[in-house]
Amino acid sequence: MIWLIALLSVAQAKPLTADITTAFTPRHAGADCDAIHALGSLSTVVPALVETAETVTMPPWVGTRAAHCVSELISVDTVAHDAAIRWISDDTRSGYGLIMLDNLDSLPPEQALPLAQLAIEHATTSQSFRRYAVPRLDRSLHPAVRAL
Amino acid sequence: MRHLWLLAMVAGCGQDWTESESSGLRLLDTTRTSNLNGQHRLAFDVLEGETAFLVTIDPEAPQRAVFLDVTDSDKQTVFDIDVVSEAQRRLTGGQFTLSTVSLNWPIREQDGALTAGQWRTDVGIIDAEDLFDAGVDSTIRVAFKQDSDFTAGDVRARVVFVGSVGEDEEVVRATEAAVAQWQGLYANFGLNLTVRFDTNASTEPVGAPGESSGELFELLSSESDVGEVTVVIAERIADNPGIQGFAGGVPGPILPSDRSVMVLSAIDNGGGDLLFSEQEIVLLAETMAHEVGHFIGLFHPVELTFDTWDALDDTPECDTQASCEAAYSRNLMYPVPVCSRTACTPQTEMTPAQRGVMHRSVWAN
Ligand SMILES: [Zn+2]
Repeated sequence: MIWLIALLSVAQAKPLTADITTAFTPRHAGADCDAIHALGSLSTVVPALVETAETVTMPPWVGTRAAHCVSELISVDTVAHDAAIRWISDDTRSGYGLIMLDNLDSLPPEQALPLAQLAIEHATTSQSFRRYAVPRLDRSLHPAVRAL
Repeated sequence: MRHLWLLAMVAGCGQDWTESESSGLRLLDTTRTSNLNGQHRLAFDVLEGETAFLVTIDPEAPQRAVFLDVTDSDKQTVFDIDVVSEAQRRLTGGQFTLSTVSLNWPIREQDGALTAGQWRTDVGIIDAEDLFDAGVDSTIRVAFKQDSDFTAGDVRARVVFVGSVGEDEEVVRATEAAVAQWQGLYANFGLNLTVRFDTNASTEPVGAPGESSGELFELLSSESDVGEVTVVIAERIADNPGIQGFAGGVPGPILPSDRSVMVLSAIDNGGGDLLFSEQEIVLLAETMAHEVGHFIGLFHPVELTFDTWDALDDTPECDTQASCEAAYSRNLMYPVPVCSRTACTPQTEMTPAQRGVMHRSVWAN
């Protein structure tokens, strides 16, 4: 049963990732997340956004735009939340991790603080991540995040 | 002697310009208050041997400006906003109402050569309700170049790393490598690109030209030489998630302002890993060449709505994605790179008319 659900979500995600990639490839288009979210339900769009961020490497802004749209769904979708945890912790996804931190202030403190703590842990092992992550945390509107 | 000559010119024009020279460009500067019709009526002399001029109008915020017409030394109208708007072709950013607006002349070969004598331009000053606004002060500069060869020229750029990116060896390495490739791209178009590097320690998020970070952009552009394109490398472009590059004008302003820069996002050009692959460096070089192409005066040959085109003769008016990709997949100014998830088609070409726009620009001297 689980494999069937997984298969279905893969089958649904494929055309969506193509649509997302097409929408995010133009130079000046930016990340119109509302248009992407309208392509389907959270259960189909979010996995497609995560897959796009993790598999489409060119142009590089397709992935960063997809990651930005994922960041807007952290508080309402567990797949998005799991991706945020993974990206903030993974040195090979440091760019996406920073994009997650850019959206920290829109999260409730109980969600923002654990993600910020993960960022601090990552920052202790990666100078390049620390360079960009620490100022983001220092600018946070959440006092508890600033205090880390 | 020079002082006397300047006085004579002021008397001849009936207008209050301050003349100077910088980096091979003759400059006329003034501040002007819009008349009862909400316009600036500008007159300036083109000298023998001058081949192009670039006018920038920077009205006090929040007003905006738009070029209404340009009249040559024979009193012939060479630019008319009504004609240009009706043609539904993008000729110059000067035809759009912007917080800082610029117009280069000539733009294309068919615009003819600049003729010595008095030229005039009327500029509308527009308020928030899109009405002409009287009594508004503007800072105005006209720059003239003497460049008789519209097949070869020099472009100068100052690349400024703002904030932490200046300490990021990977971003600096990738930028330097991309600049070298950008120089090769422009050399193919007859443009000799010289670049110098600089840093700025600002720790504030960097926004888009004309939207935010205005003080920073005005400062950075004032630190560049006149006629030198200011390229800002920032972590990201604040409030523009996923935008990898942003030019402040088509063409860019020739005086320091909140639009007088081109901004690049390091993260959005480097991708999810904060590291630049060889392919990403190639694309970064093309992005620099594309964005500075806008800054010098080029529009996209077609917008992605496929119903708006530039005003050039040799860029075909395709109207579907398939036909436009067939025409422009390798064109540097096509608004989308043609990619296959992991690789992109090199966009290294420009048509003769596109090259002509660059060579007529005061930004290429
Ligand atoms: Zn463009």
